[in-house]
Parts: sequence; C-alpha cells; structure tokens
Amino acid sequence: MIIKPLENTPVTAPQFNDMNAALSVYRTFKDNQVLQMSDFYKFISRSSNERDEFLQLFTPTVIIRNNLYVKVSYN
Amino acid sequence: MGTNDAINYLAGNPVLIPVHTGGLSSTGRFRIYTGDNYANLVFEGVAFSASGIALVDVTELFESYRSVAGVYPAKMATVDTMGQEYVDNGTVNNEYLLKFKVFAGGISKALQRKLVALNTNIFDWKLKSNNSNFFLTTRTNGESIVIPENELLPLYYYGRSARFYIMVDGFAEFTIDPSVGTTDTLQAVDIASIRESLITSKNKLVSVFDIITDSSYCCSIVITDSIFQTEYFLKFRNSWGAWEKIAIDGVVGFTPTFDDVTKVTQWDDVIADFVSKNKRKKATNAFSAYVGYKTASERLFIIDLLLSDTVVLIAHGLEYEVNISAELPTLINTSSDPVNVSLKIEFIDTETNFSDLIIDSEYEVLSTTTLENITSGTADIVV
Repeated sequence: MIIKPLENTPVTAPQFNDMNAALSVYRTFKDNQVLQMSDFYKFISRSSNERDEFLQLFTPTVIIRNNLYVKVSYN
Repeated sequence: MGTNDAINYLAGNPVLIPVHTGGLSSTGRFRIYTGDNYANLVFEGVAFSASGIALVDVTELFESYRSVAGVYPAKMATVDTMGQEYVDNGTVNNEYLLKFKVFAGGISKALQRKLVALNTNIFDWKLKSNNSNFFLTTRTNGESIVIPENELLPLYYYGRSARFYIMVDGFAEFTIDPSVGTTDTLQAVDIASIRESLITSKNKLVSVFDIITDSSYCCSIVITDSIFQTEYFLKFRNSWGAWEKIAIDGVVGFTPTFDDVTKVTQWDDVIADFVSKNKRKKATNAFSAYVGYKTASERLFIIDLLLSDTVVLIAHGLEYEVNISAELPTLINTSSDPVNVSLKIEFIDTETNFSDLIIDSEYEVLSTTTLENITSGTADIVV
C-alpha cells in the first residue's frame, strides 16, 4: 500500500462543535464586549493573527482522513 | 430512425452530428435548430456518405456557448428534396430527427484520450455521474475539493435525475431532490451560506461537507484556512464556464505601459498657421502579484486561470476586467514542493487620465462583502 506524504495534505479551517460556548470565550477574549454570533462568525471565518491567538485558548482535536485532509475541531 | 434525446456534446470539443444521407447514391439535406422550442434555424447543409451516415462537424455553430456555463438544446432534422421536414411518425423512409444538447465548456485532449481508453465519456464519468465529483470546478476532478475559506463561491453543477445529500459528520443536513425541469439545467450550492446556516440550526461551525447520492459517495468539499489575509482576488470563468476565485497576495508592483505619442494639428492664431501638438497618451495599467505557494496540482488550477477568457480583478470589493500572464518557469515547475507563482495583471481598459490607484489606502473603507458580486450567474442556487 502506498501512503502519501502528509506535507501537502490540506488542513481544514477551524471547526467548532459548540458555537455558543465558543462565543462566550470570544466575549471574554474581547474584554467582555457585547458581541453577537454574527460578529463571532465574521471573526472566526477569516484568517487573522488575532484569530490564531484566539484558537490557542482551545485544545484541538485532529482527525486525519485517508491522508486526504486533516480535520481540526475545537471544543 | 427515431428521435434520440440522449446525445450530449461539449461546446469546447468537436460537435459531430450524424446525418443520415440515405445511401450510396443520395445526399442528405439537413437543418440545425437551436433554442428551447427549436425556433432558430442556425444552419442548413447537404452531406454525402457512401455508408449512409455522415458525421458533420458543426462545432463552430456552438462557439459562442463555450465560455458561460449552461446547457443549450438543439435539434438536427433531415429534410427531403422539397424542403419538407420529415417527422418522427415511423412510416416514412429515411426520416431522421436528432435532438441533442450542447453543454458549455470543454475538456483537454489528454482527458479525452483517457476517457476513450476507459470506454466512457465526460458525461458518464463526471457531469452526470452519481459516484464521483460532478461539480463544475477545475480545482480537481478528484474526491476532495479543497477551497480556502476566502475563495468560496457557489459550486455549480448540472441538475441530475438522482437525489444527493450534503452530509456533515455522517448526517444528511441537506437533501437536493430533483424537481421537474431541473435535470440538465445549471444549478449551484452555496457552501458559504450552508456553513453559516448550520451555526443557527446546529450550533456548529463546519469545514467539511461530504456529498453522497442514494447509491454512492461522490466527493468532499474541504474548506481550509485562507493562505493569506488579502483584499485582492482574481475571479475567472473556468474550463466549464463556471466562476472560480483565487486570492492574491496584494498587488505589489505598478508597471503601466504607455502608447507612443500621437500628434494632432491645431490652428495657431499668433502665427496664423497650423502647428503640431501632442495628444494625451494612452496608458495600460498593469500590476504584478503573487498567488502564494502552490502545490503541483494547485498550479494546474492556475493554468486554467491563464486560459480563461474572462478574468476579473477584485480589489477592495470593486471589479476590473483584466488579462493575466504568468512567469512560466515557476508555473510549469514539476517539483512537488510548493512554488510561489507570480502573475502579471494587465487591465483591459486603457486610460488617458490619471486618478488614484486601486492600491491607494482610501479604497480600503470599502467592504468586500457588500460590493463584490458573488452571485451564481445564471444558475439557480438550490441551498
């Protein structure tokens, strides 16, 4: 069986299993500002240094699917 | 001969119509009509074949269908010597009526050869398949369609008779059920909208969507991180005539080219004679940009961008039609290591007046999401 190298295997954009819980963390992260889910979605669906910083507050779960892609989920 | 509804062609590949000529000593007159009601007579000709069937190349008739995704119905009918069209009543000798469909787009000769070797065709293998990636994307024909999250556009496909499901973590979140009249019409699924709607309905942010039919797994749509943060994108019609989007890492260099000076003659009151004056020059704005490090397969996608006849630069949400060229040595590098590909972006419109450049900061107040045209063109978005 040929196993492909993982170097070029794409990694998914962040996934969250509980967006409401993640929103609470985001509010704290943003100094308890009044923020809605739409604000959080706008933040979490665009790559930025601040988002990377935010994601470090979580422990990711990583699943490699058939060496096709790496699925990364938080909370 | 009877009516045949099953023949499909791609506008970008040879459209060879079988014309029944009636045998060794006769010729076959035929007419080709297009349109939903076959109202437009677009061609009338005569064919001869000793075998009784002549293959007539009518590719040029459908040239204009090449670039914009869609299906165009057409009909070929043989006519008798009096110009009376034969009808499919099953009693008249030599009658022949052929209905066919021309789909936008085309495939490479290499893929054509591969499909012939596999004893199949592009419609069975991809466009109408229920067990493979049937989307009109040229990112891949494989089972994993990888799209960075800032390059998401509605994914086009041709309506099929079979149902398919959009699955998340093994559960069917959306069912695409064919309704009457959608088979072979251009449809689209908007993955960005689906992703956003699942936050409300399932409290989840999802980045992988599996597409399955009742009988088989087809493909997965994998949303990845954006390669870089940017307000610049190239949007182009791919080989299927469907829109694709690629992020570019800013517009780094401004290198306009200027036309030669043209002289005009004017009347000079002081000397009471004609004098020569310079006319304002025309400039073609050109920029260079990087699309970031691309793997070998991603570089093939860039080649589709270079082949496209419709490319739009999106800068801070505003769109400009452009021509694209690339540094070929980096593009055709066969190394499996990612290579940063540089592009030259030349505006199609020339300018005779100078205004602020698109890279000036004042434009940054414009929002990409409010201005950019992200519609699916003529496709119906089903989700």
